[in-house]
Amino acid sequence: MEDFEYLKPTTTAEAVNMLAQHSGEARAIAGGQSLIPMLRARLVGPAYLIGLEAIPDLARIQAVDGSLRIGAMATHLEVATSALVRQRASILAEAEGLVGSPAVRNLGTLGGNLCHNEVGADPPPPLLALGATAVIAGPGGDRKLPLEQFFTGFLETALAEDEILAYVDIPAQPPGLASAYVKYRLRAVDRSIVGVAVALAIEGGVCREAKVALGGVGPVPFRSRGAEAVLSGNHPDERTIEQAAGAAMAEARPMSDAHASADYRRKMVAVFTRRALKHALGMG
Amino acid sequence: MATRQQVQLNVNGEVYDLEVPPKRLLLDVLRDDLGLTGARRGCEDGFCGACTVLLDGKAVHSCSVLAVRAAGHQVLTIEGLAQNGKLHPIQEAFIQHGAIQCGYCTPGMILAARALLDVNPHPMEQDVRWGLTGNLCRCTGYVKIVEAVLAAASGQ
Repeated sequence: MEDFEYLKPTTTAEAVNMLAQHSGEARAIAGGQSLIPMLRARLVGPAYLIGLEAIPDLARIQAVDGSLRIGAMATHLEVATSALVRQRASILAEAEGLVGSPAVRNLGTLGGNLCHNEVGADPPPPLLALGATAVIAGPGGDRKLPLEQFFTGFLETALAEDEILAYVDIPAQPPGLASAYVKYRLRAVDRSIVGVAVALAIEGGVCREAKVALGGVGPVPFRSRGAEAVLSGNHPDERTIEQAAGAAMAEARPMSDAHASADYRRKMVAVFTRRALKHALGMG
Repeated sequence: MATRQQVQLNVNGEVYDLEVPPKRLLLDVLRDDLGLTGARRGCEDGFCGACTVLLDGKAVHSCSVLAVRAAGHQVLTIEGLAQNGKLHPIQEAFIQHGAIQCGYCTPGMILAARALLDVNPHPMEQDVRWGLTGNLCRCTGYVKIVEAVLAAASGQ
C-alpha cells in the first residue's frame, strides 16, 4: 500500500474543500470495505484519504418532505435494520441485509457501495426500482441526479473529483406497491450473479406502473425498459410475466468472470426476473 | 511523505498510545505492534474472517480497518475474551464439541459467535449459520462449530 495522509473533516463542506484542494490526489473513504482492499492491491494510490466518519449528518436516516433520505455514511447494517427503511423501502432493507458478510455490513456503507459501482452490488437494483435520487455535495453546493444517471460505466460514477455523495433520496411509493428483490449468488458473501428488483403499482388487478431493475448483468445497474413496457397497463398474469422476463434477458449485457459466464448470466436474468415478479405479486 | 499519526487504541480494556503511519492496518498493529496474534492473517481481502475482531462489540475484518479509524473505539480480540483465567462459555463449548481442527479460523469464529449471541442470545441453527457466513473454515468443521455455538447459547 502506498503512503497517504489521513484527513478527518467534521462537515461535508470541509470534506469537499479538502477534495478540491488536493484534487487528483485525494479519495474519500467511507467504511473502507471496498477501498482498503483496492489500496492494498495498489489499484489506487491517493496521497490523501479523506475519512468521512466524523460527519454526523452523513450517517442519518430520516424522513424529509415525504421522501426517505439516507445518508451516504449509513452502514449496510443500519439501513437493513432501520424501521423507517423497512417501512418505506422494504426491498432496500432486504438487499442491504444481503451485502457481503456481517463484518462487511457492520462497517461498509450504502454510499461507499454506490460510489464504487461494483458489478453485482446489491443496493442499486432496489434503489433504481424505487426511483431514488442521488444528492451530491460539491464546491458549488448540492446537486441532484436520478440514481440511474449516477452509474456511468464499469466502476465509474458521475462524481467529479471534488464531489461526494451525501444522501440518497427515495420518494414516497404508491399505496399497494408490490415489490421484491431477489439475488442469485453461489456463496452467501458474494455479490450477485444476477440481482433483480421489481416495484409494481397495482390498481384493480392491473399494473399501472412498473419498474424492473437489474444488477450484475452489465457494466452498470440499469432498468429494463422492455420488461417495464410489457408489464405497464397489463394484468400481470403468467404470460405477461414470461414476456417481461424475456424482455429483461434481451436487454442484459453481462460479462463473463470467475463466478459465471455471460451466457449463463443472461439466462439467469429471465429466471430471476420471473421469480422476482412472482414473489412481488404473491404468486409463489 | 510517510507521516506518522498519534493513535490511542483501547484493546481488551488496555489503553495503548501508538504512533503509526496512516496506512497501517488494525490487523498489523494488533499482531506486530501489540503481539496479539490471535487475529489471523488470511485472505487480506475481507472474505475469510480469520482476522475478525470486535469493534465496539461488532465483528469487523481487522485487515480492512485502518488503525487510525479504530482510534477511540473499543477493540476486543480473542486474547481479551477469557476473564480471570476462565475461558468464555463459547470457548469452552468449542473445546467440548470438538469444534476446532487446525485452529486457524477459531479466534474469528468465536468472536463472530460472541457478536451474534450478544444481539441474538437464543438463535436457531440457521441464525448461527447466517451469523458465521463471513468466517471460513478450511477443515470443513462447520457442523461442530454450529453445535458449539448453539450449546453455548443454551448454557450447556
